[in-house]
Amino acid sequence: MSILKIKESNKKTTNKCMNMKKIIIAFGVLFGTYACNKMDMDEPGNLVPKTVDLDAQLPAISINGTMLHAETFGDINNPIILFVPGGPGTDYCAFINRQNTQKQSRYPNKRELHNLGLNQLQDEYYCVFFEPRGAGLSPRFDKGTLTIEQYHDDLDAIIDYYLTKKFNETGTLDSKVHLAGHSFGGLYVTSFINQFPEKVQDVILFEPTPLSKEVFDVLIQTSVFAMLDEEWMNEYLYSLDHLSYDDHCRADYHRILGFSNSFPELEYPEDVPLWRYGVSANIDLANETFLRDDYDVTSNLNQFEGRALFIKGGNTSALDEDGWNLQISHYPVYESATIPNTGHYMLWENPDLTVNIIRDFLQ
Amino acid sequence: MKNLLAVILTLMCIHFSYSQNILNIEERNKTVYSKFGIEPTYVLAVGYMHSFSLEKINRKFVLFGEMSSPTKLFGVKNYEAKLGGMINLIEHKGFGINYHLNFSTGHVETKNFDSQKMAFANKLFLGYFKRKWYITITGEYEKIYANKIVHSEYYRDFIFPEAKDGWYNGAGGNFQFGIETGITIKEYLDIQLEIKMPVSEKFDSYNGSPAHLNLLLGYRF
Repeated sequence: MSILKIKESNKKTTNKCMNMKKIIIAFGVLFGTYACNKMDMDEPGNLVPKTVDLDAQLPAISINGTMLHAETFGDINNPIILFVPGGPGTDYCAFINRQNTQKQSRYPNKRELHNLGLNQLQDEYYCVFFEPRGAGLSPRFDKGTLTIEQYHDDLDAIIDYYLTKKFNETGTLDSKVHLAGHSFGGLYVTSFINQFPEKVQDVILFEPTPLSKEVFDVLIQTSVFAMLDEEWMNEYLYSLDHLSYDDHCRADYHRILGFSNSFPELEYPEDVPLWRYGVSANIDLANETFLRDDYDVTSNLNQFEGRALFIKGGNTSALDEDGWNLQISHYPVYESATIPNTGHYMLWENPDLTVNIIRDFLQ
Repeated sequence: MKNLLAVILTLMCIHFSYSQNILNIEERNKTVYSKFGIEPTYVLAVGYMHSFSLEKINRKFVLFGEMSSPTKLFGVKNYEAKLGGMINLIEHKGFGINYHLNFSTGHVETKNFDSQKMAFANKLFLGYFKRKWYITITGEYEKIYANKIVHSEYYRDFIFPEAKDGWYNGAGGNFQFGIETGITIKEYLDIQLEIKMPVSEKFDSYNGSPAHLNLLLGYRF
């Protein structure tokens, strides 16, 4: 009996050793797999797309010592319209896509559908879509390095770039372009016109960020505290325990969680497409403009000889009627149009009507 | 995932909360507690701690386990589990320095991605400890050393189709500096309050709540 017991005991011990061995091997495999396959969060292309300086397949131009993500549609013989996205820090993805249609690739040669968004204007205009430095697929810049003056210089250089290109290719010497800006892009182009009124023919503004402190003060915006109970806000905050904001890629990746919900009065649909939300550009340009107590980009607009078209979404409630009237009256000559049943991204929700309104205005 | 959670929960039944003061827990060496606060959103936690006297080195040691979840996203898809210990390094006439180390794993499910994180946190308490109360300043550093990221269909459809799923390093870390105080009522009821300011490891922006606040109630037995 005792021999049997010893044998059984030995067998149990052997089994235990085997089990322990299996566990150790399993952990070894697990850690081995982790050690071999782990990726770097900070490497562009893993969590967020690479920018034009790192991805040669993306369309780009070189301006003032930096590359910018930019592409054009249409015949350069036609009048030029430059489209500027908002954020600050977002891209023109929504400008060339449309709601309820599969988002098209950021690589022009991989797109299956064409002429979906504002690029429908290419039959009458030479449409230029670009992202300012630090925004979208244009290169990243460290926080604290971007200024509105730099943005003015860049836009000035971009206008010159395309006017020169037009002259070189067609012999036509134009001195002005049309500008179109969405949200912060509207504030940006207005700030530019305020400085260089002679370089712009007409301007189209899609629900621009308040153009003056006076308008900003009447902006209707739900406070962060009131949103603490909302699911997206909890996801946004709770996930901060999973990645810190010290690196461009991590910050850009995380910020997208707040993209469509952080300003409910703007009535963003959840599925507005985006390539990258440049956080550094967002912080710097916000600090340079609408977060300043003394900001005003309208003081010299009376020198602007062109016309302004303001377009708003019918569902947007960030400015009441008085606020909207105050906003549009900053331009000496203006028109206003509303796209019904749309929000802040009216140009993506109903590009057909948006395009028709722009055509009527520019004719 | 369920198995992992079961293991963590089982292990947690062997452990702590934190501070209440490690220096006076000889008579009742087990504590269960509940904690509620903003860190970085509304979070509810439950935990257990067990204290030991380490006679050979004349130190007191506390082991703890804690499970927490944000109240709005409550459940197994959004949680953090911590296992750790705390030891009093220095003790002199009521003044003391305690050191706290914990390992944590947590999961968050968002519209864009799911993340399973692994992290270590160090925390130092420098303060004055009496039998029934204490007050300390605290400094904490949490390093996230691995995340398993899985992207949602939404993220692939509307943001970045080629986003890579898998294990990542380099998620960074955060510091938190604050004040913590606590009292013990009738030898068995602990109340603690802590307020701390988070900042990323490069002292850049944390980008969430500017301050974290926690209230803890514990029962000793």
